Amino acid sequence: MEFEQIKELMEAMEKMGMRRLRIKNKSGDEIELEKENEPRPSPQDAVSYPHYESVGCSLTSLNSVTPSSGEGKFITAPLVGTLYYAISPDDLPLVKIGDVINENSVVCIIEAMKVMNEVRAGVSGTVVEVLVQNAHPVEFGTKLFKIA
Amino acid sequence: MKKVLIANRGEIAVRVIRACRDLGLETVAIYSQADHESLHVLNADEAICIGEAPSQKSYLKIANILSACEITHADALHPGYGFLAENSKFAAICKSCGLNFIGPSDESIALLGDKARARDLAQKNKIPVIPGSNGIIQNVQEGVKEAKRLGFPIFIKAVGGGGGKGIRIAHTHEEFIRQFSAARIEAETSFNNPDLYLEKMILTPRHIEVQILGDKYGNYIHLFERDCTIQRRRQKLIEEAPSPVLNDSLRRKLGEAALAIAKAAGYYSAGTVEFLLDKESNFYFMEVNTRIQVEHTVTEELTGIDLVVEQIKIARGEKLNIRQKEVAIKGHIIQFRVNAEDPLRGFAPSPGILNYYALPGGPHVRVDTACYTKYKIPPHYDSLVAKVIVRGKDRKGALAVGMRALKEFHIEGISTTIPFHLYMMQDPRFLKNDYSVTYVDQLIEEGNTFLDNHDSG
Repeated sequence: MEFEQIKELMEAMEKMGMRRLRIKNKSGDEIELEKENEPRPSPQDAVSYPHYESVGCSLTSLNSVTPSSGEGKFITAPLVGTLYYAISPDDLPLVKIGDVINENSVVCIIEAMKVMNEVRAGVSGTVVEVLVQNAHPVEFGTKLFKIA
Repeated sequence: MKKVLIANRGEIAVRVIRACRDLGLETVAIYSQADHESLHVLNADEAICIGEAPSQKSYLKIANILSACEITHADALHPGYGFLAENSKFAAICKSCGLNFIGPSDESIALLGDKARARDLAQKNKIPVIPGSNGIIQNVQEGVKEAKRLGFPIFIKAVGGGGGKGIRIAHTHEEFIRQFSAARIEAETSFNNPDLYLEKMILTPRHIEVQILGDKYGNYIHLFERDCTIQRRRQKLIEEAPSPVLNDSLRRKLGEAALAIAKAAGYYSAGTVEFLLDKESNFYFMEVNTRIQVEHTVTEELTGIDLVVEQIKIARGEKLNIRQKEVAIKGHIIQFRVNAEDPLRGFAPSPGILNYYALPGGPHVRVDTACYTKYKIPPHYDSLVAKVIVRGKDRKGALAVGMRALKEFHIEGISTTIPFHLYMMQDPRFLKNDYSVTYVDQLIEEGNTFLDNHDSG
C-alpha cells in the first residue's frame, strides 16, 4: 500500500471521527489504523469548524459526515445547536433510513442553550441518507437528512 | 479569554478579527446565508452560519448567536457597531451566559442609550446641553408648550434613537403637531420605545465627538476629537482629526466634558461623546455612543493607539496602561467613506458585483474594507464598501494624500461615493472650513451632482 493512500485513509478517518479502521485491498494487503488516546466525543467537547481556503466554496456541507450529492431534497437545520436523533439517550432515533415522513414529522432534536427544539421535516418523502453524526453541533442550513 | 465570537459582519468584523489575531485569540465568525463568501468568514478561524439573509433572521437573532457561542465554546463576544452593539438586553444576556461582552456594561448601555437620561446626566455634571425639554414629553400639548418656550425650529427626537435616526424637525406650531404624532409612531416601530424629547435646533452646527477609553477600575483617558461635520442626512461621509476649528482651550474643555460624563455613567471600554459646536464656538452635549464606531480608525491613526485591542484588554480585566499625557496628536487624519451609493442618483444604493476592485496604498494610506474583486455586495445590509484613511502633517497635506489615494482606488461594477469625495476636496468652503452639518444636504438640494471641478475616474 502506498504511503499516499495510507495518508488519505488517515485524513478520511479524522474527518469522519473514526477511531479504528481495518482495510484490505484487492491485492490482499491489509492495514489497520487506530487512533490512540482519543476520548469519546461528547456534546461538551470543543468542535472546531475549519473552513475551506478558497473563497466561494459552499460552507453548508461543513458538518456533513457523509458528503452527499448536491441533488435531491434535504432537511436542513433551522437553528444553531447540537443535533440529537432521539429525544433522550435511552430512546430510539426518531427516524431512520427508509422511514416515510410527512411535513409535520419530528425528525430530530436540536439543543440550543439547554432548550430541546423539535425539528419538523417540512417536506414529505422517504429518508435516504442521514448526514450528520449524533450529538454533533450544527449551524443554520446544515443538511441533516436527504429525502427522496 | 481564549476565543472571541464576532457578532457582526463586513469591515468591522474583519477589523475585530485582526485585533484578536494581534492578541493571539481564536476567532469565530457568524454569517447569514447571504454572507457565506464574505471576507470576515474567510479570515476567522471558525465560522457558523446563523440564519437567512435578513438581519432580523441572522445578525439580530440572539438565540442563534448565543448557540453559535455555545457550540464553538467561545468565551467572549465582540458586537462591533450597529446590530446588537447597543442593545443592553443582549449585553445582559451575554453576561448571564458567562460570555465576556467586549464593550461597556449593560447598565451603562441602558443609561446612555436612553438619550433623555444621558442628557440629564450631562446636565447634572455641569456639561452644557442643547436647550431642550426636561425629560420626555408626555403628550402633544406639553410638547407645544415646550416648543414655544425653546423657540422654533425644534427637533423632536426619539429617546431610543441615536446615530442620526429617529429625528424630526418642526418649524411652526402646526408642523409640530403633525410631526409629533408621526415621531411617536416611528419611535414605537423603529426603537420599541415611543418616548420623545425636544431639542432646540442649533443652526449651522459642527459635529465634534471625543473618543474615550475607560477600564473596569475607574481609569479614563480621552483620545481627542473627531470632526464629522460632512454628513448627508445625518450619516457621516468624511471624518477628520484634529478638528480644524478648535483651539487648544476648546479641545481641552471638550476632552474634560467627555471624561466627566463617562465617569458619571461608570462607563468602561471604548466610547464616543458627541457634541455640537455652534457658530460662537459654544459646545453642547448631544449623545454618547456606547460602542466602537465606524470612524474609530481616524483616532487610531491620529494617536497610534489600537482601540479595538484596548477594548479587548479592558474586557479581559486589564488596567488601562496609557496615561493621558502619553496621548498625542500626530499630524492630521482624514477618513473618506466609500459607500455603494450613486451621487448622481441622490445617493441611491448601488449593490452589485465588484468586477474590478483595486485598492490604493503607499505611504500614509490605510484602507479598511471587506470587499475584493468579484465580491457580490449583498443588498440586505449597509452600503459601506471601504474606509480610506489618510494622514498628512497638516490638513492640506492630508487632503493631498486623500486625492492621490482616491484616484488610485479603481472600482468597477457599482457606483460609489468616490466622485463626491473628489469634489469635496476641491470645494472652496470645505477647504476654508466654512461649513456645517447641513452643507452637503444644501449642495444636494441645489442640484449639485458632484461631478464638476475634478477629473473623472
